[in-house]
Amino acid sequence: MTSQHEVLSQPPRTAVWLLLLFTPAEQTESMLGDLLEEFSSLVMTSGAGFARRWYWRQTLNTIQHASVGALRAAPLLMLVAVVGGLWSIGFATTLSQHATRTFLDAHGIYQSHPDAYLFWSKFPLRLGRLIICALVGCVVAIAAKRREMQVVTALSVAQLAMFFVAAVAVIARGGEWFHWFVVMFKWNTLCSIATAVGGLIVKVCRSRARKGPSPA
Amino acid sequence: MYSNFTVITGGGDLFYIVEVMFGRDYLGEFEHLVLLALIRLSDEAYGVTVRQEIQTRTGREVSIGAVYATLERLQNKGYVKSFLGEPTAERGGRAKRFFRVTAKGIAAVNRTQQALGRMTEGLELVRSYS
Repeated sequence: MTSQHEVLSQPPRTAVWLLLLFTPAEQTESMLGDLLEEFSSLVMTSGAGFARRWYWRQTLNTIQHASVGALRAAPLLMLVAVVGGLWSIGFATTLSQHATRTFLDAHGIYQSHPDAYLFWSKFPLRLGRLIICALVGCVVAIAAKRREMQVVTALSVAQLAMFFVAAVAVIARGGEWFHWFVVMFKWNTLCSIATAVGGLIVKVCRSRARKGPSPA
Repeated sequence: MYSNFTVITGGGDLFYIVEVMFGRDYLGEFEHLVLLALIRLSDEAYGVTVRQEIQTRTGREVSIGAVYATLERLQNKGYVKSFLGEPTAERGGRAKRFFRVTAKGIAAVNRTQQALGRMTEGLELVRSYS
């Protein structure tokens, strides 16, 4: 059984996991080694608490640098990934909605089972959108190569930003917007998370393929 | 390794003129600091020592991410090369990545030092702004 002291004298696991996700794969090994070397010496000289706070500071600064660096190094890639990702999600969602409604209308579901029609024309489509978002997240991460999580995070943030722009337009129009906002906020947040999960899956698979330390 | 290295701080030699004619860029402030740290550390230059060298000498907190991001940029410009050392137990079995400045990197440091020298030449900064 691991004692609390042993746990505290190890770097924070979440911080290590975040570093594995947000740093380029070829730098991860040596960077984690460097941080562990300094962390171990700080545990001896300044205590575990100080060392863990220092590790977290290093992690957050490193993620910030990796993200800003990715944007500076490949702004066009970021732009294409975000615009292309948003367009793909919109296109695939519209297509799936159209296909589902065409199928339901062709089989006369509305006339025979109105409740079933309402169910199938709403919930599965939203669920389908989540799957589309995850798939687009995967594709964007595959295309982004060394900057999977930065690009996918940018796409997720852009999705949420688009929702808030739409929300402002709806609220400005007046009427009953609160219920709409709550429902749509929930689904759009889930879609953003699904996109990030898609990128995460690709990053984890790539890390494992390199036979290096895995973020999972 | 770099014991014979001297930083040229003034004058416009042929090397400098040729570099300027070809439109070579100057180093950014942090790039400059990282290259100087690599030159100082010579064979012992890797993430930890570079970070500590800059932090100790400049007194500013430096993150390992900033050091690696800058080293990657310098490597892409051909100013720095790197190689992996042996994995060690104290680093959780992870290898050190050592960095060396190339001749092109030293030329870039010289060029930047010359530019700074020209800009500060004749200025009495302490008297003017204290």
